[in-house]
Amino acid sequence: MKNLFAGGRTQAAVAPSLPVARRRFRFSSLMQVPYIPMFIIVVFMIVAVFGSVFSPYDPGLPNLRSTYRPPFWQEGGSTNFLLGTDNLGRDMFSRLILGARVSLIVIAVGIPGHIAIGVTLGLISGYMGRGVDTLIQRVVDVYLAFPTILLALALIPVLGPGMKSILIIIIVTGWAGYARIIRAEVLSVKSRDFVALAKVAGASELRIMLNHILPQVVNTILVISTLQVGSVIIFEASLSFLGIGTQPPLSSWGQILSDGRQFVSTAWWIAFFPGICIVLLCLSANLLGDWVRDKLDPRLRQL
Amino acid sequence: MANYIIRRIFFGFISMFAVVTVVFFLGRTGVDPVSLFVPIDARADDVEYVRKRLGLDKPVYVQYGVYLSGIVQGDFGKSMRWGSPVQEVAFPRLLATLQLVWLSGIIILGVAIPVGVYSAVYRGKAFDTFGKAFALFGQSAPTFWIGLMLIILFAVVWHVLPAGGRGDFRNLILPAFTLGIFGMAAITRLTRSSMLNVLDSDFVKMLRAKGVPERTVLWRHALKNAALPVLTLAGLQMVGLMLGAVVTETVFSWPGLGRLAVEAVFARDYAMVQFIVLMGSFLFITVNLVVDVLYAYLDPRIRYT
Repeated sequence: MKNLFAGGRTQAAVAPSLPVARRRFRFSSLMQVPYIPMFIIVVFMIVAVFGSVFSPYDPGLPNLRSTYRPPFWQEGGSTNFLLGTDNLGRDMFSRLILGARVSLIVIAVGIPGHIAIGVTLGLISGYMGRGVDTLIQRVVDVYLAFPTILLALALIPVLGPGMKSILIIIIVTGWAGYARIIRAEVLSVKSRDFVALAKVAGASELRIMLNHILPQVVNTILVISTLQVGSVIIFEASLSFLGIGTQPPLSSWGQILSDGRQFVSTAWWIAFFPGICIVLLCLSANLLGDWVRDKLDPRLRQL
Repeated sequence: MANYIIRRIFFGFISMFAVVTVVFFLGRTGVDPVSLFVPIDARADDVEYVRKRLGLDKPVYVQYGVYLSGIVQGDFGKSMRWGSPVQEVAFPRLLATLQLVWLSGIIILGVAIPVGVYSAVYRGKAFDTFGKAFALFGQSAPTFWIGLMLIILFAVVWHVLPAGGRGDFRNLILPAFTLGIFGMAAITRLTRSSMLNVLDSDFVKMLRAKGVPERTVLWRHALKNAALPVLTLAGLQMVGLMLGAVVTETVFSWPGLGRLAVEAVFARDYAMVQFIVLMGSFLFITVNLVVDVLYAYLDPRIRYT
């Protein structure tokens, strides 16, 4: 009886209801490699990149002879339109594929954007120290304290709605977390011997930062960015849902959802499927992020 | 302690000043500021009239001075869309939002704390796994989608709750719950991990050894000690709620501040947007301050210099 042995060592005598270590271990070992999330993300990327190949119809083309078709398994639906059509007769499946592309663009521009700003400032702040550090960290304080959706609302009238504004907003709102965490990492790395040796060898500050310190914090960057993917997607979807994000003919998942909002009583599928896509992708990204974190940098647990 | 509070208030002022400045200059860079206040198809002489009336024909630093002195005197500008001072339009909307946030806060704490506590007690069991799945889902599903799905279920399929609008208590249930889901997930996770730490400590073992009933151990002794980080997060979540309100209010057509902000963006009413952003930041900074001070007050081990 393995479980008796494992659970009985210290705590069972005191309180039988206490958690047993063996159980937790089994659960986490089940989750060791997140194959399903990985699979979902790979499928998502393939669909987003080669979308037009799979897409049975032009996602932006209205077809007024076939509006409000339900998904194929429901009465009145047909396999011509797998997931049904919307109020203008556009094929939901094709629109969702286009939406995947929009989400991928948002991730592919947003996350590197965050890294570019956040990591640069974090490196400078941690390595330079003193006045520069204080200044940068105060700015980061204000940024972290400032609610992102408010900043977005303040920026939208100035930038005007559209894909470009969304990308700008996502980049300017999301970098502060990187700067904070990378700075802390740099602080611990820069006191190590190899940095001092590099300095003695006459390496320039820039060279030390880029060639010696940056490689030490790459793991952390990787962990933060995988964990950020979900929130970036949801942020874009929220803005598009509010109508201040992507504009037609482009269709992001948030925007399709927003269209479907008017038809929830007659055509539930318009709002349902884009949401499922968002949930699946974010869930996968978060699970993958947890796994990457546990593998690479367990100290970031509290993130 | 007093020093700490004074310093925090001082920094609060600085942050607020920074926000005011940034928001002001955002509206003055890149675009012609008048275009933020008039419809796109406005006639040229109307545009000039608005420019004069808003004082936008003066140099930027003069405008900035006028704006600052207005704020100090409680004058935040006039809404172009609603035709009256922005705060007069915004305050009734703020009350509607607070009504929602208040109920949402109760739902969050009422669900998250018991679930978090029992997840810690039954760590690794089915209940914990379920709690974990719920939290993960709550953090991965967009609020507006959950809201729409709840509308489909409760209003369209079962006809038990109204789909939106403001009326009696039944109108509040769905939006308040929707608004609470994200916070619920976060607070459940934190309560769980905080309780796990406390349950592992010597004093809990001591209490149990003494034969104190499990219920008393959990709810009177352990939870009290686990409450600190939860309190901090709950304070921050309250403000997070006000922001989540922007989306939730749109889903349920709730006439709150968040909805107003979106309406103002569409109506190109920059004075209103400006005011809402300022008010949101003010609330955020104030709650942060109160939570920090409360934290220091509740936990004497924390010393501030």
